[in-house]
Amino acid sequence: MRGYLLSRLAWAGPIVFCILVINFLIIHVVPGDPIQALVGDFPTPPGYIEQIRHEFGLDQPISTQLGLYLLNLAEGNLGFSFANRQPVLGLVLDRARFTLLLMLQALTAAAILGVVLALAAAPRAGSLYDSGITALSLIGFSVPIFWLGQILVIVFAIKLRWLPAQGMISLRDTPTGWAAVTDVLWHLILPAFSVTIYYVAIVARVARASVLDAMSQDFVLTAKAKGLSRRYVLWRHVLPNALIPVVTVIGYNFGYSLTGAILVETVFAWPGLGNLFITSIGNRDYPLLQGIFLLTAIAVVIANVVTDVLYAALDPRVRSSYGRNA
Amino acid sequence: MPPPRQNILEIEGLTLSYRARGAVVRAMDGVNLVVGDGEAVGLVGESGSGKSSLARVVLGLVPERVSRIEAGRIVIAGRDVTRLTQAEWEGVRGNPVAIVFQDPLSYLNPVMQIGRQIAESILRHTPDLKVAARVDELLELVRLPPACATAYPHELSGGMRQRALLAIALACRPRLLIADEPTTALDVTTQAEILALLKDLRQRLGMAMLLISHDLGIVASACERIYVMYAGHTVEWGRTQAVFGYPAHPYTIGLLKAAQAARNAQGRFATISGDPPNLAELPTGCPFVPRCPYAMAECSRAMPGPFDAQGDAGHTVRCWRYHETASGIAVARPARDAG
Ligand SMILES: Nc1ncnc2c1ncn2[C@@H]1O[C@H](COP(=O)(O)OP(=O)(O)O)[C@@H](O)[C@H]1O
Ligand SMILES: [Mg+2]
Repeated sequence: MRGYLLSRLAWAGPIVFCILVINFLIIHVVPGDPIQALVGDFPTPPGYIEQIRHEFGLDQPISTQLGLYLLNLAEGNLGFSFANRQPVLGLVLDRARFTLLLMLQALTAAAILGVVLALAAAPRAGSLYDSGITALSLIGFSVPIFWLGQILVIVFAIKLRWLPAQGMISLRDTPTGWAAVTDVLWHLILPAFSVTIYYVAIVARVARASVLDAMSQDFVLTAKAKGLSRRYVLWRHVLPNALIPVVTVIGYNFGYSLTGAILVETVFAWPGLGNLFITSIGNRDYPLLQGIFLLTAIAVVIANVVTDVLYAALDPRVRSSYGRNA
Repeated sequence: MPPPRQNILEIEGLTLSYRARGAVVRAMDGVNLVVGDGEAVGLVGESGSGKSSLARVVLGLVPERVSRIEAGRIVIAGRDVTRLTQAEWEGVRGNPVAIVFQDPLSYLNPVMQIGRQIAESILRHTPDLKVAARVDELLELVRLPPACATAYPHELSGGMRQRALLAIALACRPRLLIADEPTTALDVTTQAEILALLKDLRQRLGMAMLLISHDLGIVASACERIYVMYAGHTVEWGRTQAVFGYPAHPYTIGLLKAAQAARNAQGRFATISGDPPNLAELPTGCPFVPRCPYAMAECSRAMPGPFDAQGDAGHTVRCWRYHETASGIAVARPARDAG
């Protein structure tokens, strides 16, 4: 396992380096003066342009510039967002927490719910129940997230007035302590629900297919031939084998799930990265956009490494290709 | 015969069909087969003759949706199991009847340790035993090193996997072990080892065995009685010496001659002339007619017999002309003892 982990990290290293270099090159590809690109369309304090020119060594050869850029990154300097009057790194990390709060619970709920639905549907493949789940999952990921979100807002926030329509905290009275936590959870329900529905649908579809596939494998016959019950065979033999492709699909699609975040955060004014991304486009806030790109790209690489590790944890054949006791 | 002991398995006139893409395939048609307690019985026939279907239907493991038992019955240890539900089958599987499948890699769970797969059988059938100790005992029984308990299937060789599959089956303490081509996927040396192990274990544990193979030599060396299957029909059966020494059905004769020719010519394959039958479009009457040198008009009307072949008690054949075939041809029984 250790050898495997090292090989995955060895793979991630060059990828992250490439991301950094590409991110660096973007500055030079953006039309117009790179300094203008770095600073954005905002009135800058006098001398700042010179400071940037010096910091990034824009008068020097491009290789030196790359080195300086990397050096700046190493110091945590991703630039300054004038639209928000904050350093980019702090701002991005701050907002990333809220996106993670939304997405991680959605992905976790989707993984569990989707797999459970698939386990219920696959053994009755072709039945009314199975067709129902298949139809629902088809609807689930055909319905646009922003549309579903707006419908939910209209019904539960505007008509029924059960739940808040927007934001993450109540603005009128700012609760503290335990009340603050429940307040956030209260605001989380609608956005979480609309994005979860979508992922449940995707996971259920993938999982149903892989459960069906695992059920038709020969070893299932051996398990049944021991006299084990249907339910036991399903949970202990079929599921562990069916999970392998499911984990891979969820993990490798982590990047796409961030697009879901953008949509749902926009509809519900959820103060996460997606929201920040949209406003920074509107503001032509290039340093901030760059920072968001960089961190999400790295997040995707991390998600892939985590996926590979889970994959190896689930499948001993993968571990073995890196040595018996690796 | 039938043998003078109690029967662990009786199959009477069993007809099993599969429905696949519109066509109906009769994998078993009026099959008769009996295995006495503690007896070693062989089932031979070329591939596609319905041997695996027989092995599976005895454990209720034929795919429910596409298969149907159209006639006949299966009796296990005196209990009619023909129409059991899946839940009821759980009381038959493993104990009293266990099975070892052909391809040892695909029939082992790739993500579960061998020891755990054996332990499941123990926990299901003899939960009061000390599981870890019993796993070691079973590994020793099938002559696998104790370290195999923590190994995964892909880490073992073909022969070791087959032993693991055997240990899983034996852990259920079966009265009847069905071995469906247990050596086909293995190289010749390993084949001989596994076969010797099977013979030894059967005697030591006193269980009955139904050994299925397309290889005459293997069943001849390991079994007291033999059934010959052709296109879903059991066409001839009896004591091994009788069936192989004085074969009465033209198909058995063809098989033995082809095997002999192959041995003499060092050939790889024993074949008889003509094409293997298409089970979806079988002629009425005897399915062997298109390839049979003895065929006559009568043969296409109805499946003949079963008749008692002359000579040995219990030697039975399903051919009109068994008098002529049996007296006319003397085939030396294959003397090969693969063990
Ligand atoms: N699940 C199935 N669905 C449809 N046809 C099947 C199925 N299993 C076996 N058959 C058919 O039944 C016949 C007998 O197959 P099988 O019992 O595997 O024979 P053998 O083990 O002697 O090779 C073959 O024609 C095969 O195609
Ligand atoms: Mg077979």
